[in-house]
Amino acid sequence: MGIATLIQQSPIGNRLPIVQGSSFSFLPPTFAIIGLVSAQNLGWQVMIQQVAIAIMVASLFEIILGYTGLMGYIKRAISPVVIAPTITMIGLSLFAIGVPAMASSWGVSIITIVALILFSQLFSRYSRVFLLFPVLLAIIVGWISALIGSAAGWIPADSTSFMLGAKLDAIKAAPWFTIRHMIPFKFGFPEFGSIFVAGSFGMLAGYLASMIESIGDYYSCARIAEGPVPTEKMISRGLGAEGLGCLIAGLFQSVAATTSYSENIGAIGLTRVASRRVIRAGAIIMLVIPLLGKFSTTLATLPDAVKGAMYVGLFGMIAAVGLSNLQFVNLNNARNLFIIGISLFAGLSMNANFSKNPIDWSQAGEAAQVLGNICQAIFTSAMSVTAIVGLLLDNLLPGATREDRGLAVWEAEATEEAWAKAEEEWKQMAVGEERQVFAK
Amino acid sequence: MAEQTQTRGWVIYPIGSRPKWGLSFLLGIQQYLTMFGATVLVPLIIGGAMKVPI
Repeated sequence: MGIATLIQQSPIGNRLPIVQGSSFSFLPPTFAIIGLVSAQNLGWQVMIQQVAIAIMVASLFEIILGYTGLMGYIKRAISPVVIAPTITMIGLSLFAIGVPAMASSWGVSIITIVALILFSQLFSRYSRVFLLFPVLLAIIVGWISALIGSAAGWIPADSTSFMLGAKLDAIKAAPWFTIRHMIPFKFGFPEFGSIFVAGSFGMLAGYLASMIESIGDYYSCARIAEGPVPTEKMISRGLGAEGLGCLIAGLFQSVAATTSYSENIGAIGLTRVASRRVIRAGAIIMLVIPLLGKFSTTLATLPDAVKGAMYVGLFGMIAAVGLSNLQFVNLNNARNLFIIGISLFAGLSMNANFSKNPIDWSQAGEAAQVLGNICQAIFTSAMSVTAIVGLLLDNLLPGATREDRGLAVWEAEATEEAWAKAEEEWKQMAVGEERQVFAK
Repeated sequence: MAEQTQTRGWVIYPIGSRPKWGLSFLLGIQQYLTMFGATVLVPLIIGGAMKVPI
């Protein structure tokens, strides 16, 4: 993750302050491979070998589509009418993991969310510490209240999100220093059999959903960071760099391919810090922390209730950033409203159906199964559905001028020159200098 | 400190700005902490499905 993030920041990436992390869009194809391996009664080492090699092979697809500029073409068809609901859906589609995590301990999660609200919106007006670190401080407050709560016995000891004793044992057992995960192919080399072929094709579905998501993420990241609109070249380089990151993740046999991470985009909004240097520092921390066994095990004890409260804040922020793109759109145009409404609803509703009732492709032969897995991955990704429905309708339906669709303002900003000008302005800022957003 | 009023913009450290390295690392830790989905959740889900002994 750290390496992937650094690649994205370099000239071969898109240079947006965006973090790369393990993605949820790769879970369905990963489970498919696990199923294939377990059907042959092979152990978890084989599962890891096969998942990692599938991630590596399929990443070539993303690298090629990215660096050849093929995906960049899609940018020409994207208007704020499409991107607003798509970004909104990145945030909203994660609704199922916010409050359910909070519910593991209402006391702790309410303290955390109240702390986050106060720190980021109220205290930040008076104090620099709260202005820059609302998220960090709210996590600390939540964590401490969880510790006090479980030590005092207010939180039942068997509650899944705490289990203090078991967690302390895990920390004690963890080594101080470990480099195990830095060894390429540590779980052995895979066999190139039928699982390898089916797995690699299946993994393409994960990459497709991940690419659509990432393009949405680039727009929301640039928007929340108050930069110009991403250009065609930036999208191409960004996707190519993501593919490279996945290739490296596969090499180290990490079982999760990486993609642009929405949480960090939300965090930019809450902390008002969009600096690339901060994201690079974060990437270095990501590289170092897993080396410190005890420290990373301690971090893993972060209570679910605290995470849940953070999700509500971060994902809510992303949904709102998506909506803010509507300021460029003519909202008195019924055609625009129709597209925005339908694409939002379709995203949520398709997911509600296909996550519960997947179409059974098992009778239809092997090729159709691969295709079926790809469809399943896209149908259950709410933001992919929203993006596809919006993209089709916005480009096919008549009834709005380019100004109505918000394209006029956007295209003026989505140029290499606009970025060069912005970069020049940023260079003018001295080390440590802040932009004045408050009247003194 | 007296209350300050928002005038223009929102972000105080734009993309190309260079906060001091010490501050950058503290802010980087904050970014890292928001990523528990990637650092904890995904490995747990996949590891659980594979029945990897920990």
